[in-house]
Amino acid sequence: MTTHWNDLKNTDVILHCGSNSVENHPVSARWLNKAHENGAKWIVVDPRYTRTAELADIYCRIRSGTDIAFYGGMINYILQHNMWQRDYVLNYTNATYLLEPEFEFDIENGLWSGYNETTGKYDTASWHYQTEEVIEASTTSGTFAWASEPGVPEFTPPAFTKPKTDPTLKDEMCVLNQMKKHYSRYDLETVSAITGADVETLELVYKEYGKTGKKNKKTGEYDKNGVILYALGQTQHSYGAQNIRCMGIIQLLLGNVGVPGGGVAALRGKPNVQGATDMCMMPTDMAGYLQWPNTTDKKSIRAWCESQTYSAGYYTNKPKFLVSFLKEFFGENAQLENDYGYDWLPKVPSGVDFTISSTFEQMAAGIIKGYFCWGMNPAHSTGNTKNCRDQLAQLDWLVDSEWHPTTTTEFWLAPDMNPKEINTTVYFLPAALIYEKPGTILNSGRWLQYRYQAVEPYDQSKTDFEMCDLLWKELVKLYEEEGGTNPDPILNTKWDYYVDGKIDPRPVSWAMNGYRPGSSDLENAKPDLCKNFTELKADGSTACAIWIYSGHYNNSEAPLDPSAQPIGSRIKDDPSGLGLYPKWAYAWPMNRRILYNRAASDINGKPWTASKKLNEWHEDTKAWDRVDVPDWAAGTVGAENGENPPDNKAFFMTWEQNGRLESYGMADGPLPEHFEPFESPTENILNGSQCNPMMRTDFWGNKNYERVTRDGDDFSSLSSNRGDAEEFPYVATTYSITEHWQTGSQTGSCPALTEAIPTQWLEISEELAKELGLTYGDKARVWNSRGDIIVDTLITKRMKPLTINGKTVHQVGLTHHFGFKGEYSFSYSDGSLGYEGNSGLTNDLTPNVGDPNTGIPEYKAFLVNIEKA
Amino acid sequence: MTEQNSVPQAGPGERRTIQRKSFQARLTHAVTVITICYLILSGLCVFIHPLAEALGQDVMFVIRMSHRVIGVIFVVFPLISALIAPKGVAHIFKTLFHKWNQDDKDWLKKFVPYLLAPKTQHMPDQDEAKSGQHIADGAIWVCAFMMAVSGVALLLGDTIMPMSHTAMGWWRIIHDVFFVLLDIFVIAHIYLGGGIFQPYRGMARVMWTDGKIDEANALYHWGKWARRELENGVNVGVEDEPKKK
Amino acid sequence: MAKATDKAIYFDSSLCTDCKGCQVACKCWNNLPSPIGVNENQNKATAENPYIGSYQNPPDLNSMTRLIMRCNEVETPDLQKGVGLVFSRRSCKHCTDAGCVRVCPPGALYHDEETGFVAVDQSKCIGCHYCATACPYDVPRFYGEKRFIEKCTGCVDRVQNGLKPACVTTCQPGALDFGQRSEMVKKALGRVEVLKARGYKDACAYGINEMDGLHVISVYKYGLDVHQEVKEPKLSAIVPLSEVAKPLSAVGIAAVVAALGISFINGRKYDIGDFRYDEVTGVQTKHGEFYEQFDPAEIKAGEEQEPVHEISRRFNGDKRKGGK
Repeated sequence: MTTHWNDLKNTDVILHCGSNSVENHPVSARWLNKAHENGAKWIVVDPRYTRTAELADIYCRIRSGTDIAFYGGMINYILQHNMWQRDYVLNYTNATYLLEPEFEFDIENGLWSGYNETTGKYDTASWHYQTEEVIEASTTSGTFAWASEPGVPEFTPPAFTKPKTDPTLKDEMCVLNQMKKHYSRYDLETVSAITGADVETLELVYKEYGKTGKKNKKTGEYDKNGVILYALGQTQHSYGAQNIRCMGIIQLLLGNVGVPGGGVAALRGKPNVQGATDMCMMPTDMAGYLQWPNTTDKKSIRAWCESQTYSAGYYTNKPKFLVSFLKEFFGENAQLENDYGYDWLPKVPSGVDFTISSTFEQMAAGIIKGYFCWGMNPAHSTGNTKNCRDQLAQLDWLVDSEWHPTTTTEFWLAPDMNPKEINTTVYFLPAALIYEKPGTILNSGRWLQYRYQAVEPYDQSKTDFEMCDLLWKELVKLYEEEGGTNPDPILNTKWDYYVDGKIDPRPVSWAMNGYRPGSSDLENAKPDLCKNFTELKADGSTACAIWIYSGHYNNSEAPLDPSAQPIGSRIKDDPSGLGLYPKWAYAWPMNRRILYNRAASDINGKPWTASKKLNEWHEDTKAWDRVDVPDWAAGTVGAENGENPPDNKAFFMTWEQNGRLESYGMADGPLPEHFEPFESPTENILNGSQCNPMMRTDFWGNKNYERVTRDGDDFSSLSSNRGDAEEFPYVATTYSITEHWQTGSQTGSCPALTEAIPTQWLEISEELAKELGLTYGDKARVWNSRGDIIVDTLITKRMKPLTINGKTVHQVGLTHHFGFKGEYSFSYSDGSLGYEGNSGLTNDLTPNVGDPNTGIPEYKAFLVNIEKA
Repeated sequence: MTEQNSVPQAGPGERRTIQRKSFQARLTHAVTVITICYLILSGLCVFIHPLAEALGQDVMFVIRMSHRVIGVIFVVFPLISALIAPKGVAHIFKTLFHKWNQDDKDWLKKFVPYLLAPKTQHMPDQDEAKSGQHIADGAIWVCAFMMAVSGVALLLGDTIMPMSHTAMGWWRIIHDVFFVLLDIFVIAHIYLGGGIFQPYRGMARVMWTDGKIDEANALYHWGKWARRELENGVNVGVEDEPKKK
Repeated sequence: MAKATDKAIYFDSSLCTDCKGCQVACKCWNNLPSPIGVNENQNKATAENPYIGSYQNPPDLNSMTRLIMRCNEVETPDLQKGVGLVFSRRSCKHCTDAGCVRVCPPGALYHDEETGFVAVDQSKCIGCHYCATACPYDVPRFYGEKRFIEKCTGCVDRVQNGLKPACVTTCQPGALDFGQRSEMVKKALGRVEVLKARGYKDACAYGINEMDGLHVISVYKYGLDVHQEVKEPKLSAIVPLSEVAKPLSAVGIAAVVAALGISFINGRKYDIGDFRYDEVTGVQTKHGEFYEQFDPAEIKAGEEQEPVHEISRRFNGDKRKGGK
């Protein structure tokens, strides 16, 4: 989230799109209700009328997978009706920037300029800005003065390419004009035909949400803000990242980023999804969103610094974070002479997919032979779980660490598996539950909080860090005794997270916060902790495992007492009245509660509206008056010549320091464009490509990144296996409910929760039920080219057929919490209904195709057929 | 007169008796008395709040469950008995619920003064059942029947044939009302039939020992019936005079 | 009416998200189990609970569930959304005039002094189930082999220790509240106005006057019908009847016993042979006077003419035979 949970109460318009936060993030309801009480309008856009929709004022039903059409329509509406917030857009975004003249979208083929026929990828050069002048960076003074200090690895700081702009917006190549042109095709009728929402509802939603960009005619203030909440309903598409881009664009156009009650609210579920994202649990990112070394532009520390460091903005400091990271990783062994051990880090081969979706294909190809599965349940949760099971059966060994055996641990028990034919050795490591271990936890609002252990781990189960420690010690021992192909990375790694000889999360907190190794005595628990990441250096004098967390544990006086640290702080003061609670826990970065908060006041530093003041420039004192930690180069309080006066640099995490309406950073296009899902009941009427041309499918096979055209290629591989609308006429979407958490590995073992919702179901409209002859209490068989499951039917008025491109299309919803394995409840796999071999896993039906930027599979829109079981 | 010879006559130190109740009748009565007493007492424990509170959960549980078991015996035993001797049942109801004659009315008019001051009243002659018996025994029969029906309904409603709480409530009210009425008539019945009432001394024998009644008592209570029986002689026997105290 | 110092639980269906946190928190705090047989909870689609667009389970209160969230759906042609999910909290309403308390023989159900809640002392319950017959909301359920009372206690154990009821504490969206009853009533009335302004024309508050004032004040967004609420709850006639029955029967029985006592006293030394009454002469001969005057011959003389109501005698050697 660019903001935090409590801030939701400050909003004036709530837009849920691809999120069912009231059900799946119950705490959000508390703050949303407060906003609603204060008069906020509440809009829900969703294929299903959810419990969130029940609380809202306006409900707009759309076909699953047509979000970009919906957003595109809104962008068009905002631009056509001049609802965008002029002062914000002109100053704080790249709206006025001129794009390269080659920038173009080919409607015939559905391709952007720069498409390379041989690689099947885009060359993004034509998506860049026109350059006014190139300013070479100086290493003697200014931003990069530190780069010439001793100990800093050698690299050439990037030159600043000053973009050409046209503040009058007359130039056709202005980002805003290009957007107007691109989205002019998204008129209400077209959007209605694609999404199935009627024109009136669409217009109502666009109008209501568009109001947040408008000036209050009485006061002359921009006093309304809107927030867009999203979750897996947006990301789990073959164009998920572009869905999120749409929100970014809309929020920038309406001036809703960086203000109280605004922002793009990415709702993270399980405690630490946000934390896992931050820390490095991804094939492209290391801790703190620094990128992994690769075989091309990051093959050496110099190449890394040169390709990753920005020419302006805060990311000019990136080398400091990298060196501090390396210093923590390899400790004493990291020296300037050996590039701080950069080459000991694994180099991810460029252009190859290592996401979870590709993992099972690599197993099929015999590349992955052993699999460590830690705190996740892929045999229940990946796209096409049938494929997942088959591939797990190819492994030599599988290690699963969970608090009790899950679908993955016992994949060989699936009704369609034959244990006699499976040679995979499965090891189960009983893990301690969250309440059985101490440590930090991170929520969607980026709050780091410390939790103490409540009870001892059950029986012989161990905490994750204990297991890591044992594993690590054994690995090191083996490398020391037997050598190996490449022992250096292992043997040079620093591993000293002990207190009183026992592995402990507190030294990990020191490492995450950052410290000065020179003046620290870690063995005796006396770290010299950094105040925050502004103290990190690129000369090897600081160590920090994850720079963004720096500051969360910075009290060197009491390094063993979490309650004396910022993360242990529990003071309920809220001086601003905006629910910032600056002394409750610690929000990364820098305890900043609302990101991009410079944008909360105008170009002169005056708040858009007095009631939502985050900061204000006082010309007389040459100082900022602010209630949140500044998210811009504000300068030092009490500096001799005063603080930095307001300018247009509101987004200093980009090199332009402006918000990007258009972005060259995406794999599949500079502006979001509507494509149909991998499996769709209709044709794409907006452009010539049926699906996202960059969609990822067959992640590991030859078809990696191959184009998917309207004519259709052969997608008959195991993991995607496309079916067509003739055979499978119904649009299905999967979803979670509030009573259960994802694969049910925890909630499915709670009797009261299993009682609350005991079964998996198919949510189906009364109309379709009638057509299929289904009635209350019937079981339904749901199948497609990948899987075949039996579920209960839940016939409801809340589902309705849609008219898509003139044809009636039925949508159905499927929950995914139960499978063949469960403590108290599982699927009808026993053959009692005549369906032996039915795994009961909804994800047997979902295709293993994904977004080109993130690799997240398309769980939310696919085709099925249904009959009475 | 012709049959007179066949009628047993009492010799010196002897008296005649009439067999009034059969063994089966006495047994059925005895079982009913025992069960009904238990049912009344256990029912009272629920009926009287402080009693329930004082006895506590566990004792009350035993009481409540045994109330059901005994209740079943209370219902089933007379039914079996009736099946064995349907004629006896017919006779009972015929005598109890026959049409009232002048004797009955006369008797009833004098009953209250008689009950309160027995020495002042002489009661008219009666046939096999006094009019008081028509009322009192009849009431016991009716109450017991209603108790049985409502009790069975409550038992079934709580077990194999669940019914609505409202229906259960009304059955309970019926059970309560007839419980009270039954109590009143049972107390009176014990007072009279058990011979606590002085004029009725010795009556307990009819139901509790051999089912016979001596000639003097028979004539006192059911003169018309007694004379008929004595003339008929079938049920007449002879026994020794009880020794005087 | 409810006392001025009474407290109440507030339920606002328009803020509720049907997360069932309350249902689960109730189970946790009160140590109530859930069925744990494999698939024991499944296949519950019945005529009464057909999953009619409903996320509700268990279908109703039961021997181990004191609180459920009801989930219905409704068509709302007047509103933009066209359809609605209807959430209602189903549990004890804690009536001021509580039939269950009035009929409970051992006093297991009682009004908590501090809050006015209908609290439960399970250790006193004797399992008579009278409460169930007296409840207008069909709330009491019975647990275990002995089938003792299972019903919301209002968490008086928590309230007495300064906490809110478990369901209220757990409620994230703020749909449940706990406080002075008068304040909760005010809050509900204010809320109804807000909802009406939003177009929920049937919105209403419930529990202010019902049963002399409930201690659960509810705001129903879609009106009573849709929320499956009892429209005009009345105390069952069973309750006053039960209450009248007891004193009446006590009086009745006492009267009978007293009458019999008089009878017993007056009947002292009565002997059936000691009394004589001559219908011919109309003479009533009293006890004790009779011995001197008695002459059997006189009686024999009149025997043929007038029927004399005989009194058998066991004295004076005279053995009258019955009949002629």
